[in-house]
Amino acid sequence: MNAATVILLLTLAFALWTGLRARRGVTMDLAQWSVGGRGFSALLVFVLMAGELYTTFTFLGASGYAYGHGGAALYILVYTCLAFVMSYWLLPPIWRFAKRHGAMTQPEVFARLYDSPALGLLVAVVALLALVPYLVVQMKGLGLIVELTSYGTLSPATAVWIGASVMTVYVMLSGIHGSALTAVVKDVLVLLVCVFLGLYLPYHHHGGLGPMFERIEAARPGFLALPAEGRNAVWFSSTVALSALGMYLWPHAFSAVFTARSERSFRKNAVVMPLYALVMLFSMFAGFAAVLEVPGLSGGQIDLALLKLSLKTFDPWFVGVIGAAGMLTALVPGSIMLISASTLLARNLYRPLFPRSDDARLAVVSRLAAPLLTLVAVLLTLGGGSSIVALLLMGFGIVTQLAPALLAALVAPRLASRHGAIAGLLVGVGFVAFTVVTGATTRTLLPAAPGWVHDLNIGIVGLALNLVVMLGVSRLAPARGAPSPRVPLRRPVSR
Amino acid sequence: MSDTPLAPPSRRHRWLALLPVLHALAGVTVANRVQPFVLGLPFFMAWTIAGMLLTALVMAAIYRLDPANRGDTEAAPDLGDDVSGNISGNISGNISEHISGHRSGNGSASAQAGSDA
Repeated sequence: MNAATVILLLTLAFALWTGLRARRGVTMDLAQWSVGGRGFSALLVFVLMAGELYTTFTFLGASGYAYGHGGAALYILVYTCLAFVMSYWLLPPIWRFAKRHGAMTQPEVFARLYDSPALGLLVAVVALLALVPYLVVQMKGLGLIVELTSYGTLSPATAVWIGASVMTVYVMLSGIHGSALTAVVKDVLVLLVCVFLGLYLPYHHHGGLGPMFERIEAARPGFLALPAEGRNAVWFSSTVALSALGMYLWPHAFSAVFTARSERSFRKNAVVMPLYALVMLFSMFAGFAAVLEVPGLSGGQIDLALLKLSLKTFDPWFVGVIGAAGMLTALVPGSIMLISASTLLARNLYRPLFPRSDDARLAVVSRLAAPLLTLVAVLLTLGGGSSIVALLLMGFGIVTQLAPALLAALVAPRLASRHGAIAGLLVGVGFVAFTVVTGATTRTLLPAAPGWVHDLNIGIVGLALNLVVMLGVSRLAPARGAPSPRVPLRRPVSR
Repeated sequence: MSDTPLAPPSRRHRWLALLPVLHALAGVTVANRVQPFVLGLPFFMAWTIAGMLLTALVMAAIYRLDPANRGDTEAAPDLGDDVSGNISGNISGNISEHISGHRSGNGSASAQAGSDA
């Protein structure tokens, strides 16, 4: 047991303690457990949403991607900014609609928007499908951190199992109240650690940021911008578009929307968030510092860049602090994802199938779903070798398929019917799943297409198919009867 | 909203939201280069960071111009039992102070804020 492990265990105990404390004085029905009784203020919503922003993806994924792919990693900064711009107009109507209709999960919103329980079921399946890779990302991160900070005493598999058990226990005991409290501690710790590493590592190893970038440019010319092929400008733009569209479509991001007490919270957050996102830049600095110092990592290994360099640079106790920050970035967002996923499973898959189950039964089911989903994620984690960003982009490819139906309902309800929405979603997700399973790319599918088509993010191609099918089917099979209740989507104005 | 002749709230502020998008597009076309270094950072990275600052500024401007954020009707329920009470209250208080008077002759703004709660 070294100093790093001790600090890691203490942090873990702290997280569990705050989680348990947070549930005091709150009756844990399903609404409290999953959306905090819809009574969180602007700052708490901000913290929850920022909590989703700062996941393992930020900490290990962004630094690893900067290490592995250079300038292409900057897509993360661009897409989060554009997503915040969108959120200013996107989230308030969703919040109003959910509040008006008592919706607590994403599938309920879709089912209500299109007045179609079938669409609700489909969205539930899609959301779960997309959440699994994201959960795997968090498990993978936890495993890496536990493994490396144990200085090799724990095997990767053991580390993943430990991380997964901790997350499940945490979620089952405290629900979202625990997440919100620990999120505050996590954000402060991650902020400090990220900024410190991002400035200290370049300084320590290269004598500063400027000299570091000059050395990298000298060793690998062009690495710090976009290459002409592969992750080039076309890839960058399509990935930014896809990720910006998808950011608030994640079921757990949707859930965070429901926790707000007032819709102005979202507009306030849209102003502050871009500055908050700057912290990710520091995590990339740390990744760049590793380029020349710990060369040779490739594939899924690139996620190790930040931790490996830290091991090389710091004493065990400080490695423990970094590990603790990393652990919280996996634990907090991971628990939020688990909560959304299990709420979704109980309310939107279990209840439609067993309509007579009461709320108490649903609460039990959703809490049992948490360990089940963790198990699936663990098995996938142990089986796969993709890097964090690659996994996440797959999830984004799936979850973004919800965008056409949602945006159509908000902006141009006449263009999309429920049949159109269902058909478009099936085609889009089917296409992405097909490419994931078969490894097909636009290059193999459309060899004759011009070169820029081959560089497109495959999710964008699925999105285009989805949109075309949705609009086409909606024209052929327009919704009959009264349109679904869309009145509260628009901000009420004086008449 | 455009269907209410009495209250045509200005929506021109929305066009500002195009700025970050255009900046990002310019980023991949003309700013995709390592040289020259700006404050020690590769050009593409410096451009991206400038974009983030631009986004924050643009969103702050939009927040101020948007009639939906006027009045205190929403600020009141925001004052909560938790830590955020003071902070969020102050922010919205300051902002609403700042913008009241600005276009205060426009009756529709306050009417809209009233119905916004």
